[in-house]
Amino acid sequence: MKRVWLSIGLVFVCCAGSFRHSYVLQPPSAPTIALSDSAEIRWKMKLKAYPNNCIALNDTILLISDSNGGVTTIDLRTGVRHDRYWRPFKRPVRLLGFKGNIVFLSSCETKEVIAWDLKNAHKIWKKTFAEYFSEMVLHQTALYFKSDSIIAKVNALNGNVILSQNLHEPLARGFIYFNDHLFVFAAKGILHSFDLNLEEKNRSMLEIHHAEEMVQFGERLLFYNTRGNVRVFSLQSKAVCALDFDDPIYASPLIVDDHVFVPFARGRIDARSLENDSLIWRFSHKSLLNIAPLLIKENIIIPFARGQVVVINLHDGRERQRFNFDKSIDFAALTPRGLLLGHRRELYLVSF
Amino acid sequence: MRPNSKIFAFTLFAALCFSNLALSQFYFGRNKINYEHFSWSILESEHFNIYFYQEEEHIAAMAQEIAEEAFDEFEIKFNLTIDRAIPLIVYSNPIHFQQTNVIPALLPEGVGGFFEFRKGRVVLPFNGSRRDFYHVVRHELVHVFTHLKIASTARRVGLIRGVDFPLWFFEGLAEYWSIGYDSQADMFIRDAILHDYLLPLDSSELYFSGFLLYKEGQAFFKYYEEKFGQERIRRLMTNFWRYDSFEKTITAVSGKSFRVIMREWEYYLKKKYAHYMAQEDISNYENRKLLQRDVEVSPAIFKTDSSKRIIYMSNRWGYENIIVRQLSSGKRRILIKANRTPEYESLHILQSRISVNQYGELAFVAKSEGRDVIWIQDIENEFPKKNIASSSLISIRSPMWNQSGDMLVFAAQRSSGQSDIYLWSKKEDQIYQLTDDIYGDASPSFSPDSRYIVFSSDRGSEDYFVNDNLYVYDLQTGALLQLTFSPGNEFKPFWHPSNINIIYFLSDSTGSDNLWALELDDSGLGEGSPIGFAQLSNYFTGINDFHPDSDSSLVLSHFSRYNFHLDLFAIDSTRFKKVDKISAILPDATQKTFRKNKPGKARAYKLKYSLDFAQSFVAYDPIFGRLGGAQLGISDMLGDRYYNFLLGNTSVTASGFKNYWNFAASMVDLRRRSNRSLGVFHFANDWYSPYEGYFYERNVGIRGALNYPINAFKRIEFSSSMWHSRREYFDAINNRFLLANFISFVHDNSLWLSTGPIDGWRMRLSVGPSFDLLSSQVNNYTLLGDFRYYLRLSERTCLATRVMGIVNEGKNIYRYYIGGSWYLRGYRRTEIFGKKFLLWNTELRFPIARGLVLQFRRGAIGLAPLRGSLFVDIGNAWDRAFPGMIGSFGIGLRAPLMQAVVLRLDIGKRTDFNKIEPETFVQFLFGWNY
Repeated sequence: MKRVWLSIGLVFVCCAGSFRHSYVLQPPSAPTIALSDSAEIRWKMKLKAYPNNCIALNDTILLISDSNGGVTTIDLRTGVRHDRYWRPFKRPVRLLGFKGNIVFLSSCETKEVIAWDLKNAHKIWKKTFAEYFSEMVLHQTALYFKSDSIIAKVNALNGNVILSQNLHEPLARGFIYFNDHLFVFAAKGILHSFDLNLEEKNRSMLEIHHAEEMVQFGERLLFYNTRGNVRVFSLQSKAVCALDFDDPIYASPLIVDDHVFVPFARGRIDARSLENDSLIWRFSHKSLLNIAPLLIKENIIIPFARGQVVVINLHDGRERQRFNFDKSIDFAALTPRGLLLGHRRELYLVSF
Repeated sequence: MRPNSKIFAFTLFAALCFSNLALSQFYFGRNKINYEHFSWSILESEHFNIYFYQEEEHIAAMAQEIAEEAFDEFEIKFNLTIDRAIPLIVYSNPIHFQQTNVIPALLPEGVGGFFEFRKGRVVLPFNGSRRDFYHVVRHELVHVFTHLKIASTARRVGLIRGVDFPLWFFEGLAEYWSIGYDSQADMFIRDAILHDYLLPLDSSELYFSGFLLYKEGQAFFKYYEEKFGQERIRRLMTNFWRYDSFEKTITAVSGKSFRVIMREWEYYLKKKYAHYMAQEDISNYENRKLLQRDVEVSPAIFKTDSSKRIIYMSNRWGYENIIVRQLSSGKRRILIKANRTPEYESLHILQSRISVNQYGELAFVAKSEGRDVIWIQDIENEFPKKNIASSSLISIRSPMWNQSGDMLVFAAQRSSGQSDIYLWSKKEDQIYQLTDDIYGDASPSFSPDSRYIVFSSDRGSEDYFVNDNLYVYDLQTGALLQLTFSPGNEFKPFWHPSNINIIYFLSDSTGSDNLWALELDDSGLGEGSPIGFAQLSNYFTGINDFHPDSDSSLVLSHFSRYNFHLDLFAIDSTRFKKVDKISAILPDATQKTFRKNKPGKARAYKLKYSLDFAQSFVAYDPIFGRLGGAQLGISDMLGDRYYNFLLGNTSVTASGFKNYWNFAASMVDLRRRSNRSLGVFHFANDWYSPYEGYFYERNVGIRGALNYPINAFKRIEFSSSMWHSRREYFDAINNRFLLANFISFVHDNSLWLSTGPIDGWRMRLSVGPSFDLLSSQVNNYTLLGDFRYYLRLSERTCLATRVMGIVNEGKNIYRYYIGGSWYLRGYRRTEIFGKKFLLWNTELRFPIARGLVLQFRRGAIGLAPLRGSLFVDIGNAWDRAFPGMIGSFGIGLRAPLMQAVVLRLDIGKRTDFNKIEPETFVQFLFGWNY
């Protein structure tokens, strides 16, 4: 009988709770790539489920959310799990962001949001909302959440909804804070601007339908859809730069200075001038490209879905290095220790 | 019927270990015959392993090129890369394809290829047309990508429940992303709009609508992609797990209710086609309607001074027939009944034309014993005059007589898949090959002077998705001339029977398939001959085939009300004007390959096994006991050889664990015409018999079986088992070393509806002695006879009769239980038993409702169709003296549930033929009709 109780107790201890260790969020140092060395796999590990997104807590610890509702901490030096596997939700968990030592996670299935104190390893609050909040903006003590059809202002300390605003247009994409304004993009091609009390202040027509994502690059917003339309909107001048291509785009283009680097699904990268739309350089590789290019110093790292990672010079598009990963790549992220590549549940750290 | 322990053990063993053999050839069923023995190789490319046999190397190379090109395209469309080689098994013609062992089921004529989920195999034939091959390869690859996209999402989120995608989603997407919106889809949707039978996509009726499901899905995806974008289609495949149903998924992904989307789609289609409808002809109203019953295609006309007869193919009542109809009296008779005998296994309806010459000799193609044969038959007689076949020609299509009736021209495919034009001379009884190249040639027709042959061909282009054009072959010089250069598809030419300057043909160059005429200049046919064109018909839906009747009319088969019907079409001479003038040219020299890229490496195929299934199971019978364990099945990529393993233990106590092991292993070899299996087994269990009480029995032995198909409908089965049996009773031990042999003859040409057979007949005769080798005595013998005849009374009504009897005599006899819904209705299963039995069942089967849908809060269950029966059962079982007959009569209801099981409900009275019992019995069971 003692054994039974011991087993039940052990099962309970293993399944319940969350991280055991306390963490302090310190901005990690910039990842470095020594291009003179050949790329190699430093370590590999297998997650419990497919990776969703990740946050580097510091130079050595990475927090990864997965598609099965779990969160894993990984020691970037060894690839070993640093803490227990914590499964706050049943289905994909998304790391929305963090403030200080508090990380915010949401679940699309249960529509819950958790505020988790990493330093003290305890839950600050957990709330269930009417909709799944896929994006978050943090401003002072308020959190602003966006779902497909509403935006809400939530008290960061207790998770209570302070204000909410219906967007009237479904399938909202992108949620950005700039200059005391919140920007939301709707599927029909309209950029809505709200003040911090969620009152709509302005609308801009961008003539891009079914945009997949809105990405902020300083004072510029970039929109793209899979049909091959790209818009760059200046939040200061309100000017719109339109780039329309015939090729589909599955990953966010990148803006560096006055150049935009457009990754086409067919494996081509175009570097174009935002001033006159002229083609600066072009790089092609026969593979599906559905992961956004990663910028590091003067180089762009492009992970192709069929398993090649190419480093090209930002200025002239010349290939500087190529790493053949013999598996398809469905996840990529830059970490302070190198490039993290995901193949299904497997994670690999590649150092250059 | 309840067998004793040994039979139970063997039945279980057979069912579990010989399942692959059993699936195609169990008790009854038609035979899937391996007529050929292929020598397989594998062509490896970047993303595919293409399995091919020696003769069809160029088709494998073509498949590789189409598939690799499609992979690049679908990788983008699906936003998915696949990093394992996709197996693509290619057959050079449809007849070889139907012999595939990849799936045990018989492949109907209409199956153009399939994707098998278990091992991710794509299996397809080359039917001689590059265009069709391109379509099928891409269609199946869309299935591969769709399956993997959905599976990867399910795997990603750890989804355990099933995926709730409707069939129209898979088939519609496969059609649309493989070839876009083609003229065939347009024809179906135009007709559905015209006759108002477009089915809602969420209706259960659509599931049973056959090809309409494909075409509606195709049309919907065209609309959906245009309106909502391709990304929304991808999101359906990645977001489904978040919602309870497909309807909710599409609503969330589109930002609009599925009902509203469907309504808008239908409105869009109606508006679109109203425009065309105003300008084009509606076939039923424009022409004299000849026949309006079932599929009526491939018309031919035979005229004498006194009468005119139309001969056509029809699939009325489910069988393919050739029908002769007097035009004056309307009297019709079935000349050829196919699908029932090995001579006419199939007539290739909708794929092959028929022709009749001036002597009334009908030429048609039928699949017979593993290859196509041209049969020549006098339309007045019942028996065939002659058949024309060649060992090198596998698949034959569209034989056509010349004017004098002494030559036939036809298209045929060799083992290599190459499709060419051939000529048969009656005088010499000899076949001559006219064209010899890798291009697909089809539908030849003689000129009135028998000098030229016009045919359609995909030559002239190196592309795979290429349209056919018309060509003329000069029999005197052997020269080939290209007549048409249309961007559309031009096919099924027919030379005017008396005017050498006119050739009729079908073309989709204005949208739907319509009748056109080609007019040659009086100067004759040669390079540079001026040619004019005229569109003769402008049907809103489309035309399948035609035959000239007189100078001013034709008989044509057009599409209307979701079927093909015959019309008498009057040629409007005002339409007969030259609208375009071009010249015939000599085509490019023939090419021997389409290969643009370097082919991959080829290597010989070696048997390599992978897992088919692995499962644990628990079986329990209150009398026979428990059986728990695991099953494992492995097979090779081509499905030629299967190994099945069974391991279980039925012990209920820890001490008895070692005494109750059940193990079986079997090998099934399907590579040859005869299917063979060999297995070993060890069964140990406690049993109960009403005659012997409880006992423990251990059976250890081997078993072999061989099934030899005589033809598609008949086979001989032989099985032999040798085992040691040790029975432990409370007070005795009985050791026997037994040898049991069974030999059976099986016939089955029955035609099935969803609830059971409705036409044809089935028979099984078995005899099986068993010997006790220790005592050198005959242990027992069994004789079994089972005859079932289905007398078709109307399309959906039949009188079914079964006569069945078993005699079992010997030392260790089996007893059979014949009560229950399967045999003698109204009696409990264990109520009537004996070592002999005789049974007579007669049942009138009739339709009640076309469909019944039970709506629930979350979904619906479709029972389609609902059928009824009036039955009389007579029989009895006995050991020694025949006790006299007992029986029952009553009514029954049958309803198939999701095409998987049939719900059976029988209500009736029992009788001993002296009196009828006052109680009414009600029996409920799952299972097909006998």
